[in-house]
Amino acid sequence: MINKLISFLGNTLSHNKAAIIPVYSIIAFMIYSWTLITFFYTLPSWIKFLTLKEITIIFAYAMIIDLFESIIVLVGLLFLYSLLPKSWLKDGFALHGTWFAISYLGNIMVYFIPTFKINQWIPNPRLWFIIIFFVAILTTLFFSRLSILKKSTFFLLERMPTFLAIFIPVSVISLFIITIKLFF
Amino acid sequence: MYTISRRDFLKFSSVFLGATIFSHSKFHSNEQSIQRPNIIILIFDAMSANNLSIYGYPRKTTPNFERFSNRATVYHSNYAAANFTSPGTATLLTGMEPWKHRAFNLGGLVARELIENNLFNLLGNDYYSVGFSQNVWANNLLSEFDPSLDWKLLPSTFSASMKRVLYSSYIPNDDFMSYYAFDEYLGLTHTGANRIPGSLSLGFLGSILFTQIQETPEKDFPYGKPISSNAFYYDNKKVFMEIAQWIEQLNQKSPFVGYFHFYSPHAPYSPHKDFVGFFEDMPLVNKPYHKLSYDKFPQRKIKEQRDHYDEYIANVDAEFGNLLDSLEGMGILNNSYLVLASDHGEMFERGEIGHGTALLYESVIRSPLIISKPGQKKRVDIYSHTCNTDIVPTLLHNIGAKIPDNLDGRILPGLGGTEDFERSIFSVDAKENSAFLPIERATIALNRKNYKLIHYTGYEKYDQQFELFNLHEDPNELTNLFNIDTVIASQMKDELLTSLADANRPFRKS
Repeated sequence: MINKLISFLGNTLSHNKAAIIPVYSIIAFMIYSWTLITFFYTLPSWIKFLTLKEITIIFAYAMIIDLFESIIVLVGLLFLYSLLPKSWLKDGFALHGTWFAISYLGNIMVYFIPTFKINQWIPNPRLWFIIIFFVAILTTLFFSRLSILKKSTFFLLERMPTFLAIFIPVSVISLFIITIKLFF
Repeated sequence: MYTISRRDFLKFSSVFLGATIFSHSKFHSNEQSIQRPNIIILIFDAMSANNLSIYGYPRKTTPNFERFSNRATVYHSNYAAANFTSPGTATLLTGMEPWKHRAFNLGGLVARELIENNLFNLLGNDYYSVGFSQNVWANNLLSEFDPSLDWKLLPSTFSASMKRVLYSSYIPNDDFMSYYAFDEYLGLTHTGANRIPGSLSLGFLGSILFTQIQETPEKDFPYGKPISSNAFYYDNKKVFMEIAQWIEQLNQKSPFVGYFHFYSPHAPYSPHKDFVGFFEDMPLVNKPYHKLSYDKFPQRKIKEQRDHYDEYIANVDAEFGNLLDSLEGMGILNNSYLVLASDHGEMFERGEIGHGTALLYESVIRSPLIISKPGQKKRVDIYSHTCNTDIVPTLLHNIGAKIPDNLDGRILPGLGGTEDFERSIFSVDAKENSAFLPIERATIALNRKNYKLIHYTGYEKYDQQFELFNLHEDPNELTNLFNIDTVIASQMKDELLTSLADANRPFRKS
């Protein structure tokens, strides 16, 4: 069973190699941006009692988690992509992957933004998890058929990898800092 | 990772015994150390002295505290140095005022240069030291003092559920800073600190697990299960029983100091079903909303929560009674100091429930303090003002250790000190200030003799305000005498402002 899944994933990877980095950059952009926004939102309370060194360590942990989180989301997306019927996905991983990531991660963000008060309407986050999963599939299938959105998606996909040149090195440096802190 | 099952506990016990034998030379290297008494400190989070029958509360909430007090010294006018966990606990463990130790923010920490001024370090190497707190903010302080501790148990150690523990407990090499990164930011397991997680997946996972714990029905707890602020479920019966077993094991490492910080009776007030409906109806004095009241709950809700709180205290007292029976059965009290205290009180007045407040009325700062010394057989009652700052210097004095000059506390009367009815006691709420800057937005209370002065500074709605109360004539703090009793008001105002200026001096740029 596991071998079958790995071969599924390998097959998906080999067919969508060119699209993986751009889609990953969209995922990374959303995950890292969320972390950075919430980091600066929380910073005023930290600077009241934590030193610069301690805040740097928190930031380093956050960057490492973002790196792993973004990779896990990408792998999950590839896996899901390999399971869905091919007839649904004829526009390719770049388009579907992008819209699924935007819809799915965006809806998780909505859950946490106090203005939307989602947890008052749907107190059970598991239910929200299921709802947004299907919403993301529908959004993906619907939006990828609109030509104007297709064009803007490809516009985004061309430019987003630039951000990886910032996010990945910051995460690698963070990993280095935390490794030293934990083991030396 | 350190959560202990019954099997783990037995394993620990055998390792512990082995370690005791091998480390015999370290801990019993001289006769003096054998004679030194043990120190057991039990902290009940958010326990207001105003709701304890041992201090005259009409409901019989603490029969076991009263039983214990027959062999202990009871401090009737004891104050916490602050109105929430971080500064209150830091004061308990350092003997310093919040404006000196600087742990006055939500989740705040003791000034790094003062970390060595902690009880465990000051007691010296002869003492085997164990620290445990179910409250994560108090646990952070224990993490700060970790180099001085021989063993620090994680907050969820005696929890009844493994469904959710701290993310930081999986990073034992750095459970301190990783707590702030994962549990107060990325994964948001402490819901009181911040409500937007830094990581979408960890935050979402946390929400799912949190809901799962809340949803699980528990017939023994009609108001809901006891849950700590970072959402692990615990059962007080199990917690107290296993701590009694710990103390029994620790007794073989004598002399030891054990600091055990219980989350109960902190909200949510979750008494066992045996204590629900335990008391007859009792009216609650209706006090007007304050300009700085955050929540403005209706009186009906406040009274309901006060009733649940009283029931929870009775529940905790019963569990303490079982622990006391175990300690007496072990005979450990003949060679130990046993300290019962609280980090702060709890409010059910002026629209406020709990202690998330800028107010410093009696209920939120008047805290219990009962101490038995080794072999004490008679009750002693002390009525002069005392403060939680006094615990560290008193213990140091009684074991013959050096008391550092920069501690703010005094030696408690009845345990080597003398009663001082003229003494001034300060309590501070400065959670909105920077710990690195002078205190400019705060509430400060000064208790002296019958009087209490409260100063509010830096609040937009209530800046540079003073309230003066005569606590003997007006124990409910309803009549502000600041513009009536002007002589007392002026004297106390001068003292308060001078003390604040002295505390701020090191933080002002010259």
